[in-house]
Amino acid sequence: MADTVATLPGALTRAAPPPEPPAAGPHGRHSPLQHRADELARAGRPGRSGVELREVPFLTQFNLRRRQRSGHNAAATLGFTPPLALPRTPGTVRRSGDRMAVWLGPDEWLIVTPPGTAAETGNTLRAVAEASAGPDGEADTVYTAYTEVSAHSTTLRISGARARDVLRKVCPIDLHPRAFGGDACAQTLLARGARVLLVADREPDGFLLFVRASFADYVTDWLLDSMAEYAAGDSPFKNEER
Amino acid sequence: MQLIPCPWCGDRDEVEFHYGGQAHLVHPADPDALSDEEWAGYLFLRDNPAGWFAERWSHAAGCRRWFNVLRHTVTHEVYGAYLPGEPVPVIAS
Repeated sequence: MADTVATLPGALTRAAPPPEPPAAGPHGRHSPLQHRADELARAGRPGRSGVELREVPFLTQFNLRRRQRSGHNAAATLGFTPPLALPRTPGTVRRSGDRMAVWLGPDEWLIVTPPGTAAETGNTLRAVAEASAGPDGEADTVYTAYTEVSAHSTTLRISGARARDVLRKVCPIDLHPRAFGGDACAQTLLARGARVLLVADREPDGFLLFVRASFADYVTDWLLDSMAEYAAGDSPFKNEER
Repeated sequence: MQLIPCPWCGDRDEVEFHYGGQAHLVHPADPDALSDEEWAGYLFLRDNPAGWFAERWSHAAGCRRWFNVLRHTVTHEVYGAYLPGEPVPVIAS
């Protein structure tokens, strides 16, 4: 009996110490895909027929709801420098400097600004909300609400000549440049279940993928698998349609 | 796979949507005045036509908005989508 008791805890004491937490990134935080940065860097292949995948962590994101009492008619221009107009057309993005406003719904937008600018963006949105608040009961009262949602999702940037082909394998929406141009965005399901926001990036053939932090690993697995044939070298399957 | 036309996002796969049942149900103005049978009818009884049916859908994985769709329950043909508050489209036959 004494031997058994001595053996079992002995095994436990030899167990490896708990792994060190990864070093915090800038802004004192850990990004959801920080531990896979090397893997992402190795998986890509630059060049004419390549594709690259990177995490763009810590983007500042605000959800903005804004509507008139009489309907969905209360868009505005946000007082950044330079000013940033809210897109009115469904599925489009407006950019200004390094900020962008993404259409999420007829009265809902995602305001994306560089990392560490939450205070400035919050102040700008507060000014918009205060400027538009009318006395209650008026027919044209504009309701404005803004919420910081930076920690809700992280961002993947997929770029390169094969980026569209990679996304086509996991995403059901039409990504042809005619249907999904340089100012397009879409909320959809990726890889059979992950809700994502897909935004055309500034550079041609580039996409930003806003994915929930808890789904980031899953989506990354799918994308890496989808990228494998293009990362390995020239594919025997030529896509003449391009 | 059926395509559902979201009034905001356009045609999307059915899996992105949540079904909301029969559209244009009106809450009784004075529920206290209803008999139990009438109240149960409002709560539980729905039309079940073999034909055109106005139903509610929500684009749950997209813009998250509710809207109405006029759909044929036999052929699954979709006549069109319209916003809540708008009348049922008249089908030109």
